[in-house]
This record gives sequence, C-alpha cells and structure tokens, in this order.
Amino acid sequence: MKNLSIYIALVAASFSLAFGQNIIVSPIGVNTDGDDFSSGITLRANEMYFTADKSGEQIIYHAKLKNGKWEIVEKVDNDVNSGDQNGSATLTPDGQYMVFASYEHNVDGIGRTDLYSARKVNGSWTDVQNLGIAVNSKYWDSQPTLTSDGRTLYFVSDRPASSGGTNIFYSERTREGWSQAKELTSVNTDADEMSPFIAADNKTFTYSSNKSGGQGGFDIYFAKINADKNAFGFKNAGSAINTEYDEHFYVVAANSETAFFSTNKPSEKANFNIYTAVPNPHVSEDVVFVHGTVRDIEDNTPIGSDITITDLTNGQIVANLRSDDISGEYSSVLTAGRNYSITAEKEGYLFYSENFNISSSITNKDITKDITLSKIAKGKTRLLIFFDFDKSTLQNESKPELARLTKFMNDNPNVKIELHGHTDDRGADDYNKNLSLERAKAVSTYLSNNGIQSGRIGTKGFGKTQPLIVDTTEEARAKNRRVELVIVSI
Amino acid sequence: MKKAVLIIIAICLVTMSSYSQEDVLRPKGRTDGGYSKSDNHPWAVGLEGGLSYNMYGADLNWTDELGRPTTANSIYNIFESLSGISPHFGVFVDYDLNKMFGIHLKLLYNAISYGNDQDGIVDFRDSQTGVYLGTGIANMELTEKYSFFNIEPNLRINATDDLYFLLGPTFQFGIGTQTSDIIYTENEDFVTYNPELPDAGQSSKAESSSADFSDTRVALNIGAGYKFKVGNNLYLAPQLIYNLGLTTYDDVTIGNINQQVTESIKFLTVSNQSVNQIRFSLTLWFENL
Repeated sequence: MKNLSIYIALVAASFSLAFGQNIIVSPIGVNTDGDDFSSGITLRANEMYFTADKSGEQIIYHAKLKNGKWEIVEKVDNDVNSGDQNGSATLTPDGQYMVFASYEHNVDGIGRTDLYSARKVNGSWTDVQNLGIAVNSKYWDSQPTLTSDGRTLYFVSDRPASSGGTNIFYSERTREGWSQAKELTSVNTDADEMSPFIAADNKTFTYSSNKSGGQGGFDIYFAKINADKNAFGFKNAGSAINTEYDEHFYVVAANSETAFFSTNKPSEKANFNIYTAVPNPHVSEDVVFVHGTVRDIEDNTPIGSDITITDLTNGQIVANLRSDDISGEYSSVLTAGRNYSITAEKEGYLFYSENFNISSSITNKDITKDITLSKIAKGKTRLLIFFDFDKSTLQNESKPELARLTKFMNDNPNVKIELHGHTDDRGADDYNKNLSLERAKAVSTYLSNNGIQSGRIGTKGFGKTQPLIVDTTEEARAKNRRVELVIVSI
Repeated sequence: MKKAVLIIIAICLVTMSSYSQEDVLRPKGRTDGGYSKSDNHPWAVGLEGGLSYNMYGADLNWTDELGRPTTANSIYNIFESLSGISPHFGVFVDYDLNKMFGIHLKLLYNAISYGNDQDGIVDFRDSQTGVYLGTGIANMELTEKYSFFNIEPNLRINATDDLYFLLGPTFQFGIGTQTSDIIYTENEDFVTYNPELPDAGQSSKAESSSADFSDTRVALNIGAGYKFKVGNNLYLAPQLIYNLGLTTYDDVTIGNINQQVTESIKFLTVSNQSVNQIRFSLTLWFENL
C-alpha cells in the first residue's frame, strides 16, 4: 500500500516533469476509503481540519503534521459534528474560530445545508451557532473560507442568483454581525462555481468551476481579488493539477510552497482524496506571522484572552482573535510596512496594549510578541499614553487607547483610578509639574466626556521627578512624556 | 374523490423526482447511488394524536312496489350523509429505507362517530280506529359510534427534508361495542303505527342499542405531514391524512311502513355504504435512534 502511494506520487511527478511544470502531486496520509476533501489548513500549516465521508456521513476530522506525515488526531467534537453531514471547515489564523457547513445540524438551521460557527473553548470546539439569515438561505449554503483577518467570508450557495448553477457569495463581518451576502459576480458564471479559498494575503483567490474550456469536470482556477471584491487574472490551474475528473478545495497555508487540493481522479482509494501540489503554482504574497503567548504576569499561567490588532495607519481593526484557553498561544498574519497596535483583554485583568511597526523591508516574517496581563488590583500601575514636547493635547494615536480605557472603566464600574502625568527632563520644575497635571487632566476630561463619573478619576502631576528612562536622548524623553494609570480601589 | 387521490399521488411523484440527497460537497447529493442517511440513523419512533372528521356516505335508491325509481320525503334519507368528529391516538415507528423512502407504521386507536338528523313526512292516524287523519312531520336524529384498532403500514415519501407524504393500507379491527342512538321527534302529538315513533302524547322517543363490534375493514391512507424541529432529534409534525374506506358493506332495504298513505308503498335500498376519514394529527418524532 505504502509502496503504491510512492509509485503513484513518482508517476505523477514524472508526468509533471515531462510537461515542464515541475509540480509534484501526491496524496496525503489521512485519506480514507470514502470521500476526503476540504482541508482547512491552520496558519502554521501543521494542523488540518478536513472532511471525511464514512458510510455516507460527512464528518470533520482534525489532523496534524507529525514528522512530515499527516495523521488523523481525532474526530472534531460532537457539538460540531452533530449534523447528518458536516464539513468544509475554515479557521481563523488564531485557530480559535471555525466556520463549517452542516446539513440537519442539531442547532436549528435556516434552510437546507447551512453555515455554522464554533469557538474553541478550553480545547474543545463548542458554542455552535448558525451564521444567520444574512448569510444562510433556505437553499444549500456550504464551502466557506475566511480571510486571514476573519472579516470576510466567502461561501457557495445554490440560491437563485444572477448567474446559474452554484455561485460564490461573500459576507463581511460588521459590528452588527455578518452583512447580507452578495454575489461574487466577477467570478460567477452560468456553470457551477464552488470551493472558494482566499489565501492569507487576502488577495490570492482560488475556486473550482465546471465551466467550459477546462480539463473536464470541475477544474481549479486561480485569480487575484482586490478590496472591492473584483477578481481578475483568471487562470486554469493546468494539467498538473486538473484532470478530466473533479478538482476542488485548492488551499495554501501562508508563506508555504505546499498547496492542498481534493480530486476524485481514480486512485487506490475511492472517491475524493486530498493531494498536495509542490511547489504551489499560484503564489500569494508573503505575510508576516505575529504570534506569541498570553500569560498572567505573576504566576505565568497561560490565559485565553481577546486580542485586537489595529492598523494605526488607517485606524482599521485588522484582526480580532483569541489566544488559546489552554496554551495561551495566539497567531495572526499582518501586512508589512504598517504601524499596528495589539491589545489583549481578559475579564479581571488590566487591558494590555502595545504599538509596533512592521517595516516594509522586514526579512524576518515571523515575529514573536508575548503578552503579560496583570490582574486588576489596588496599586497596579499601567503606562497609558504619550505626549508631544511641551503639549498636553491628546494625540490622535492615543484615542484608541483612551477608548479602551473608557471600556475598561465601563466594564469595571467599581474601579477608581488615578491618572499620573509626567514630563521629560527639560524645563523648570514648577512649569513641568503644572504641565504634567494638565496632561493627566486631559485624559480625565476625555473619560468624563465619555460618560465616566469624575468621582472615579483622580489626577496628579509629577513633573519630571519620576522619569521612566533616565536619559537625555530624544527617544527616552518621548517615553517620559506620559500619563500612567494607577488603580486606587476596586 | 378519485380525482383527489390521483392529484395527491401526482404531487408525490413530482416532488419525489425533485428530491435531493445533499451534503456539504454536493448540493444535489451523490449521483453515483452512494450512501444514504439510513445507514446512520434510520429509526424514529413517535406519538400521534388528533381528531378525525368522519364521513359516512351511501347511495339511496327509492323504488315503488313495481320496482320503478321514485323519490320519498322520508326520515330514512338520513343515510345519504352522516358526519362527525372523533379522536384518534397511538404510536408509530418510522424507518428510513433511503433518503427518499421510508416505512411508517402506525398503531392507532381510532374512534368513529357520525350522525345527522332528517325530517320526513309520516301518516297520521286515529289511535283507536287506525283511520288516516292526515300528514305529520317527524324528525330522526341518528348517532353511530364504534372504534377500531388500526394497523397502518405506510410508505413514506420525502418531498423535501421537512415535507413528506404517506401512502399505504389501513387494516381496521373493530373493538368494543357499536352504539346507535336514535331520537325521534314529532312536531305535534299524533299517532302513527310505526312502533319506532313516539306514542300518543309524547313529543320524542329515544332509542339506544349496542352490540359487540368486531368488523374488520380495509382502507387506504394518503396524506402529508410537515416536520418542524423543536429540539435535538425531536420534531413536531402536523399531519393530514385522507383515509379512504375500501371494504364494501351489505346493501340494506327499508320499507316506508309509516308513510304508505302519503307516499304510497316505497322501498329504500341503501347501497355503496362507506366511511371515509380526514384525519388531522399532531405527531411527535423522536429521531436518530
């Protein structure tokens, strides 16, 4: 059996070489005797949530890459696999949020096959929810894929549309939830379009279609897609991947040369099987991994916390994610050449935030950013915001942090705080003491204007007496011009 | 009636052809005759209860003493149409043969009740001499009650995931007693020679008879239900079934002994007697067993 797999892989490789494409196509180890398809690859390309059809019941399985081989770890929790048919899982980069399709799920649906979400809580997939009527219809809605920021969902539906057959739709996550699904008109044809996938750069798009002009059956097509959801640069994946049979679910992990796809071309195992294609002929832009662990600052225990990454260039939230409840690990993908802020929040803890820059010329595409959170306790101090020289006006870049402080005060109505203002080393003592107090009052006024009772906020000015960094460099002075937050009662 | 049955069968066939065994990969399901849902959770059991609208019908043929067709203004015309409402309840077992077809076996206690009232003219005679005095009007109110234990093996045909049709025979086994309650009422006091009618001075007379009921009958079920999910593996399905009686009854001939003066001698033949039901039920399905 093993030798046969190797033989098939070698034959496939030989054909690829013969046709000058140098793409090695080979089946992976998780394939069963039934259908195996829709490999939802995690960000680090070391875990996979794929669909296996055993005796007519499609089930989502979790597989891991161990010593270069894919092995099934377990069937995903029953909360997810409780429908008659379950599959086509897609995950956010943090691996904590899943969207999947299910027919006759235990959680009530809108129509036939519907899309559902699940969260990973304490290591288990749970909290299954139907994505609602903005996404689902009374028709067949399936095969979701999420952008790496988790904010756009592409999926397939056979609902009536301007094009015939099955079509690709998209919905965007808003504060109110998923927006009303729209047709991806630049891709859809009167044939059947299926199995969309958006790469981590959120630009590189693949899908399958049985439109004319292909190799036969469903073929994989490559395209790029812009922010307005207009796809362009369509290209058939070619004979190294497409056959006269059906090819679907062409997916690629970030910064990876390995692509995965599913095909029902004849093989030793019947029906659909998952194959890899190396190197991936439809390369996406490299992205930067930002990952780390969230821990309690005192006892070092991992913490599952809500993490928000904001692009400070335009104020857009680029990632809403969550660190794992058990390991505290989180991961995200970001575009280089931008300033970001990362915030971690957890009930009972002071919120954490930090600004950082990813240079457009960065060569290390793997940034570790560990986060420590402090429990809310009397006397806890936290650096808040910075000021320009000789100014007590709030910088625009400080507004997101102040908004988080407002939320923190609202979430913890018994907490009273003091705001401590500081200056750098330049200027007279009296002047600096007054300036530092003005800085603290500027923050206090912001909070009061946003509904926080003034009785919960104290202000003090320390002038230049308590520098954060004792130095006269401009960098040190900039860090000393600050307001700190001190918890005075909880 | 036949038209209605044919229409329902046609709807079944049309919807059968559009049914799909979908999954997350294929909106129209496998086309290679692959697996079916029945491989996994084929069994369901459930409870059923509801009300039946019973419709007794028969052909009434009046003939004169020479056997020629005629008509009569008689209380016995009541047999042309009797109706009533009665309860039914029981349990069912359901088994998926495949995604489209299943076996749905019902075991039901099925009460039958129907009745009506009818006016008719009668001869009015002197009680002593029997001399004909004129014409009176009498009213007969009839109520029939009996019960069956029904065994109903139906073929279930899924039109969609929620809508299904049922088609199959009904075997009805009579249980308990059959009671007939008749109330005769006269509009005024008078005398007739009909022993069934009230005596002089009475305005009404009630008669009740009962007898063991052990008839066995066969009928045909055709109907539809729609399942609403009410919980995990729990569905509530309103169901409407037309139960068409197939067993034939012996014809009955009745003479108009109490209206021979006013209507002359006539005979009523009651033929093609049938009892059909429209059953509305609420069914509770416990699925995925």
